[in-house]
Parts: sequence; C-alpha cells; structure tokens
Amino acid sequence: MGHVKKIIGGSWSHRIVLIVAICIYLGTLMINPEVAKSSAEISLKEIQKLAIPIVMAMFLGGLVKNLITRESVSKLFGTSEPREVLTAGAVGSILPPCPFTAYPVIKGFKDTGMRFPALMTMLVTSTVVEGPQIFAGIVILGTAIEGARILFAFLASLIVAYIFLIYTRRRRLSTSRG
Amino acid sequence: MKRNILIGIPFIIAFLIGSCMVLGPLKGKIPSLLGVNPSVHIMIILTISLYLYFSLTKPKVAEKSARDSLGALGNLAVYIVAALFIAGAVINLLPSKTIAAFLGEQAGLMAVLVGVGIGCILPACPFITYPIVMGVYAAGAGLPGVMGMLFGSGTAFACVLSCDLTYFNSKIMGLRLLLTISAALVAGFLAYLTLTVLG
Repeated sequence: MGHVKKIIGGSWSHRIVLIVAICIYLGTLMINPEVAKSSAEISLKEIQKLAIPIVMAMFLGGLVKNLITRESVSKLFGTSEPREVLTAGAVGSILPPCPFTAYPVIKGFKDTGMRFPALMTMLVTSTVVEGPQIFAGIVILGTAIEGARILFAFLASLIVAYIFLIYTRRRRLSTSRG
Repeated sequence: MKRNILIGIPFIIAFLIGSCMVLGPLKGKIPSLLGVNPSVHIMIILTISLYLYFSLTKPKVAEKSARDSLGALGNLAVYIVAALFIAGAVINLLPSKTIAAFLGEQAGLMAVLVGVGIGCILPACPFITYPIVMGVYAAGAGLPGVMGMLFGSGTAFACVLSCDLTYFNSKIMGLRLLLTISAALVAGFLAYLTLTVLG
C-alpha cells in the first residue's frame, strides 16, 4: 500500500488526472483498439521529446523558488497604494505556480502590513500570470504562445487590479462620508 | 561579492556562447531527446550554468533547489506521463468538428469564454495542464480558445481553493475567484483582439 501511495501520490486532485487517463485508454481499447494504439504512440513520442526538457524546467523552477524570498523583494514596495498594487502584481507574477508554495509567501506579505487591494492583486497575478511557468511553457507550448500568455495575463491582471483599487477607494470614501 | 562576480563571468560567457551555438551552427543538429525548440536548448544551458554557478557561490541554495526539484519530479512524474497520454488521446478522440465549433477560430469570442471555462477546472500544475491544452490545440482548437484555456488554467482548481481557505477565508476565496476569472477573460479578449488585428 505504501509503495502504491508513493507512486500515485496522496493528492486526489492530481490522482483524477491518472484515473481519467486510465479510463480513457481502457474505454478506447475496448471500443477501438487502433485509436488507443495510435494515441499511445503519439503520447510516447511526446514523452520521449519532452522528458529531458521537462526535468530541466523543473530544476530551473526549483532554483527560482529558492531565490525569490519575501525578504529579497519586500524593499520594492512603496508607500503609495497604486505603486504597492503594481509591485504586488509584479511580485505575484514571479511566485511559484504551486499554491502550496506561493500562498505562505503571500500570507507573509499580508502579515507585514500589505493593504487589501495589493493582497488581492498578488493573489490574482500568482494564479493568472504564473511567471515561473515560463520554463514549462517554452518546453510544451513554444516561445510565442508562452510569451503572449505572460504578456496578456499580466496586462489583464493589472487592469482588473486597478479597477478593484478604484472601487475600494470609492467605497472607503463613501463609507467615511456616510 | 567581488568573488561571486568573478565566478559568474565565465558562466555568463559560457551561457552566451552556448546560446549562440544552438541558435547558429548547432541549430537542427541537436538530438530530439533534448527538445526541438532552440529556446528549450537555451533553457537547458541556462539551467546547467545556473546550477554550476550556485554550487560554487551558494552551495546550500543549489543543493536545496536540486532536492526540491527531484522531490517535485518524483511526486509529479506519474501525473505528467498521464497528462501526456491524455493529450495523445484528445488528439485522436475529440471530434475536430465539435472542437472547431466551440474553440475554433470561427467560434470568435465564445471560444475565449469556453476556453476560460475549461481552463478553470484544469490543474494548476503546468506540466499536467499544458500537454492537455496542446492536445486540444492539435485537435483543431483556435488560438483564442487555447489562450483562454491557458489564462483560466488552475483558477478554480481544488488545490488553489483549499489554499484560499487554509491561508485566508471564504470571502477572499470568492473575491479572488471573481477577480482571477475576470482577469482571465480580459486577457482572453485582449489576445482575441490582437489576433484579429494581426489577421
């Protein structure tokens, strides 16, 4: 049981991927074995082509994760709220894509006094932009698609973040007046 | 500090020479086992150079990074292989007519909406999600739909939602979902407009 758990992992959210793959191939094998064989061949070719680059991308991601710490970037935050939102957006973009790694860092920023709009911006960019995915993106998607993904995701996140900042400021203003 | 800079110089030179080689004389001659894209080859050179540099200047960081990466690789290897198998099946199994209708170029802005919707429930890990997205692309989806899937990927995935609740609260989770899905849609529309303008 221990070995099985070690191989298939402990997270059900990830196990679903494995279960879906097994179900697809078992189903296809029963209905149309030729399609299953062809799909497996395509997949094996892709695995062969991507194995080493994926390992390298993971190693690079691991290094980025260890180099970017809260202490190394906290001095970039200014005192004005729009600048704080911009910096939070940029910092969120370079946080590791895994939420279990990124969220403790974001929580750390919040605990050191980062304001609410900046906190939300960091949460948005860490989920939508996910800069460190660039290595996986280049390997699997190609440079053009990955570059466009990061550019548009960052721009859109900032647009939404600044709209949210304006909304919170207006709300604060109307509350203090009322 | 000066010592680190001095150690760094040969690695920068090696990285630049290596990058020029893979873009120039070695282009197309590198075994496909190392990937087919020159930017992937540059990334491999960068990884090796950085690990060599940090193993000399900050050995603890290099060691911890390598250990973390091996741990992640061990945990994810099965899922990555499974995702690549799903991608292979998607290419063969999904009817290209259906994909074209919902995610194809002719679907217009609807492709972005459908793409973001599908992306939301995909895992946050790029090594699992990206092969599936590329499988859909190879099966006949258009770029706006594919970009929508990429922008939306992982935003409403179980791991992220559980982290929202663990580190913050349900109010922040709801607000984050609203803002991230809005950002994914805005990014998708921006990509769609750019692609339309560029023709």
